[in-house]
Amino acid sequence: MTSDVRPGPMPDSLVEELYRRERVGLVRLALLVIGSKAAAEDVVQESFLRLRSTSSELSDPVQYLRRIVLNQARQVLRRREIERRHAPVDPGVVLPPELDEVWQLLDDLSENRRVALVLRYYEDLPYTEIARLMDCRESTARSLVHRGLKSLRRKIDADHD
Amino acid sequence: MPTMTETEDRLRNTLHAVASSVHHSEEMTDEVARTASPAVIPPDNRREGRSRRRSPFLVFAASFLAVLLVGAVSVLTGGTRPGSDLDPPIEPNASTDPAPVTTVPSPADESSPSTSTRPGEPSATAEFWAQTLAGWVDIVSRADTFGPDEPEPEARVTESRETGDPFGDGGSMVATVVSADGQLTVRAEYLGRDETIDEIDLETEIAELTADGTAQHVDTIWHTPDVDSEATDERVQAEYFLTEVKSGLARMTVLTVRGRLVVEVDTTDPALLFDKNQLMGIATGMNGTSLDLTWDPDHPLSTSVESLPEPTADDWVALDSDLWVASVQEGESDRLWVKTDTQDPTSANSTDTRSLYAYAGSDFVVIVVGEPVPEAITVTWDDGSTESVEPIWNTDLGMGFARFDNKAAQVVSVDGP
Repeated sequence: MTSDVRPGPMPDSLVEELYRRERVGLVRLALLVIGSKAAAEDVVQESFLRLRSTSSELSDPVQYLRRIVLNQARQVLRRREIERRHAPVDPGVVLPPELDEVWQLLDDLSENRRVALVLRYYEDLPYTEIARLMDCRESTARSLVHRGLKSLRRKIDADHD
Repeated sequence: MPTMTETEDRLRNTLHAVASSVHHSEEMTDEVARTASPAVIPPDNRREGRSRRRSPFLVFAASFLAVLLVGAVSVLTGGTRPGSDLDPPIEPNASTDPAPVTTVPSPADESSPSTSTRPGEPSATAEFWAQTLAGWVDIVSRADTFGPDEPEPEARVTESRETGDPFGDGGSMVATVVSADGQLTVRAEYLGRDETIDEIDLETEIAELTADGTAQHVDTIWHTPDVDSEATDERVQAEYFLTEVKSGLARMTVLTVRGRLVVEVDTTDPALLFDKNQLMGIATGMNGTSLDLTWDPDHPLSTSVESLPEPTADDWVALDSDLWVASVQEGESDRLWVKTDTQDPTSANSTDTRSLYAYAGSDFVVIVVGEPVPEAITVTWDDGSTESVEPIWNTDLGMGFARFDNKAAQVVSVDGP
């Protein structure tokens, strides 16, 4: 005999706890992927709303939340791809020139490479974890990081010519 | 050029510097009393990313309550948005439905307010409810922007072709064009030997053409009658299309811009920019409908860095005193290159064609690759005249050539190879 009782939604207390604990980190992650603080906050906001509607039986809600944030952030990037060609995105962050240069160049990278670089060099995640979050094979994650870094290096060099 | 390690360090420092701009002071604290603070920015401003002196928690709470309201409305109106009992739980990669209006809360959530403030619980203040309603409008507005849930259309494969070698490893792309409900979807599949390549690589590789600003491109506008003219957002409807045209590659991205399907063509072949017929041929081949092709001649074109691996100095073999050929292996096929004293290297895939054309000095040269050796090569000029020449054959190279006086007239056809 099977039960037709579905797991209930995520308890508010857990959502609240996650919100208190994870929000800032997630906004930072989204900011690095999207390049805009305002958009990053909106993405995280919506991600929490999505999380709440999911099953309470998630084994790792933080991991799940991260994936939602990344997917949402990538959608934002995709929607903005056309606009980007015509109007540069203002990150809303003032940086020293050397870092600002890298930040601007990051904006030119493709979405997947950028996400992979952020996960690797900001989150310090191993490739297996990056692959899991990006829903790709580990070799692809390695390839994305390597190519992204190589591309960034070339751009830095070209910028100095 | 910086070393990889230096690049890594700079990247790491940059990311941490930017991330540190999100301060903990913005983090939700125990100042839940701010729920009723008039300093909170209305959602209209929030959407535009204006100054952000609001409480993140308040916005979350407001949005959360908005979801409750929308959910309730959905229930009352019999809506069947995702999140209803008939729908499966939302997966993290459910990327096709970004609208946040997805939750039908359990009644218990609304009926058990407590004194502590937590996401989803109503505040007693009128201002809070005002914010909540504003948030509701905001969210509904976004849902409209992203469009309603669309039924799965019946897809029709209109074309599938194997083209290109995007990674230079002898692999190829299969571009399948699917027409469904007036919209095009182009799916790219990679057939290659590099096992590390997958769909993400494909997207990455092709998207880089524009992301890096490396491709020359023109925009083509594609009108189809079935497109929803009310749509206002820009959405990529199709992924990428890759095909080889003449000596260059053309890649297409199909997207919706304000209700129109826009086919963007990125090409490494500058000649394509001036060849409307060629572009139209590609585009109409994608779904068989008519194409209204326009482009802005002032459209800024970036330079192309997409290039094939060129022959090294050692690869060139003299076929004649002013004519050199080179064969460069690309995967399982060879790409043949030719150069003369008056022409930079150009190439043609020797598996696609047996002949190459070049201009050497004042001559038009036809190079023929492989057996059988033609007895004569005939060129027809556009003034109607013809000229036949017996090719000079080089057995070692397995190819020959025939030279013609390069008349002012254009070559119409070449027979023999």
